[in-house]
Amino acid sequence: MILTGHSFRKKSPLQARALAAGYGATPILDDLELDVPDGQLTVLLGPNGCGKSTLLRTMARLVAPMSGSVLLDGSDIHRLPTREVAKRLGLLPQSPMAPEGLRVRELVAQGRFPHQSLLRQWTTQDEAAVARALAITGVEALAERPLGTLSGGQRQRCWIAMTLAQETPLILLDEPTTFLDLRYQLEILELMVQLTHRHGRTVVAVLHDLNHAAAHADNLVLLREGKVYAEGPPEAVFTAKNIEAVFGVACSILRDPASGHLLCAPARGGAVPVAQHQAIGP
Amino acid sequence: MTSLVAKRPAAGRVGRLGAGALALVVLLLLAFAHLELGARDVPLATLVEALMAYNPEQFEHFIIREMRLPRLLIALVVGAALAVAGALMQGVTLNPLAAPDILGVNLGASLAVVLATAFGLGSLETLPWFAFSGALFTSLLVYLIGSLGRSGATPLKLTLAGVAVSAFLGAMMSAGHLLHEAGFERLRVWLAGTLAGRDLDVFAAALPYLVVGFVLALLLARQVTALALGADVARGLGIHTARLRVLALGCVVLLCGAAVTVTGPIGFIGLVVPHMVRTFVGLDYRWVVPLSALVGAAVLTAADIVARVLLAPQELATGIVTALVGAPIFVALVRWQVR
Repeated sequence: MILTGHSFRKKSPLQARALAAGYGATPILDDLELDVPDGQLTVLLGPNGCGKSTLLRTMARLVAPMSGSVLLDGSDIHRLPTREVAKRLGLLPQSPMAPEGLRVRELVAQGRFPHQSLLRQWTTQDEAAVARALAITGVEALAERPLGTLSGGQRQRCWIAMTLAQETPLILLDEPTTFLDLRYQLEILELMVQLTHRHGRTVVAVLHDLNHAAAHADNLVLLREGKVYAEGPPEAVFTAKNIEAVFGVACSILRDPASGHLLCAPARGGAVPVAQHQAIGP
Repeated sequence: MTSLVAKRPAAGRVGRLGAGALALVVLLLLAFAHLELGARDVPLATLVEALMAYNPEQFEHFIIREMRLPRLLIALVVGAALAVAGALMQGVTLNPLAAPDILGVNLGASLAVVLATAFGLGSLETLPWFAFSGALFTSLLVYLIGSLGRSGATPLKLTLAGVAVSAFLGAMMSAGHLLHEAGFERLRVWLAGTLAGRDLDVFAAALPYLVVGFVLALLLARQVTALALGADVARGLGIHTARLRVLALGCVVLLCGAAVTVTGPIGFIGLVVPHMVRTFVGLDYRWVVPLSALVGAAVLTAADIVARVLLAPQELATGIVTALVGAPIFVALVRWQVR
């Protein structure tokens, strides 16, 4: 097979089809369609309550859909055996908590769970996967430290290492940079870029910061009221019109002279009145 | 926030094997001491003789083989069962205060056994099943009450629910006693938790359930470890969290129900032993479960030695000894582990 750069696109490994999901009686996601592109960093972006976390959790089979389906490599993820899913899709939930006495290596080793069974206990393969995960995330030096002694940024890297030790082609991260200092946020974002482009994973992440999303994502998904409002490379969808429609904020889009990335500069007093915001139809 | 372990890291594999070996050696020593000491101390040579070349004509041989050995067996198995049940309860509820006695499970099983016995319903085969239903009913009731309100089943709410339900069960027990004095009188000592004069037949009837409970606990151990990372992470790793909780509950009910059938409610072993074990081997339940079994067996054996020796030739109920030692440790746990 000849790979011809960008024109070559494998089938999407993770798709949402007419998806409706939520926690109460009224669905948060409404008839949502999404194809996660293979081998790219996809970022889900949208205001509070738009359903970005619900979408990620439903795609990770933590939330059962009310109607519609999520397809993992073409088959319904909610019908696949959960351990089979865990070999193909890794998930890091929002602000995970672990016992403070747990050592980093022990945490990361938990990622091997789906690959083990009663007959197949810990193997050299598992050991190698843990070592790789520690290396990629740069936490080898911390491996014997208890989690309770680490900073927030270090801890988050260790959690990502646990997800990596699962050795899944797909990785879903729910707000992996929230509550971290800027420096650590950038480290985690860079790690996500490396995972996609150097290690060949497909990564989907929920982010809060618009500019971080625009600078790092290959594919931006803007969500509004439970639907995909716009989707594509930042150059195409990170526009003042889209941001205003999705976030209800008037802004200008600039280009950072140093990096060439797009930046969103909200206008002072730029919050659009709610009624007017809702009038901006999709 | 609560934590299930001291903030120091767990030992490595070598340290864990060492801890296991140490526990085994201590257990063997205690087992020998248990056979030797008592109202009548038996010299070591006679003890070995009684075990190797039993002569029923000899009084000391008879004491060891017919009285102390069965009692030792019961102490070992019941101690292990209570400790493993406590470890599972603490692991699955992420609650450092969860234990068969604190959450009322033992008392629920006891009440069912007492009612069955007092009213002549229980036979050797059915008694464990009365205990299981009592344990199951109490677990569900305590969990339900402890989960009321918005914050869900926090450690303190769950513990308070356990205390409340225990008080209620205790009142039921007293009421039964008053109404049916003769039937309850026979169970008076059993209710304090005792290993004296236990019938090996009861033990034999309960043993199969205990074995199933132990095997199930070992099988669940790896998933219990992963559950400590939170339900979402565990589900992401491919664990059926709801199924795991149900299986763990079944396991706890089997272990506690069967243990209570044999010895009556013995407290604090299920609470304290898992904490001791985790301090040494960390949070990996593939180590915590088997080591809790070893240490639980050792602690109950030690408590039973004290119960027999302290006021010899009088005897204390073993459950009273575990409570005397366990209560201060419980207070310390509340002080240090629940903030």
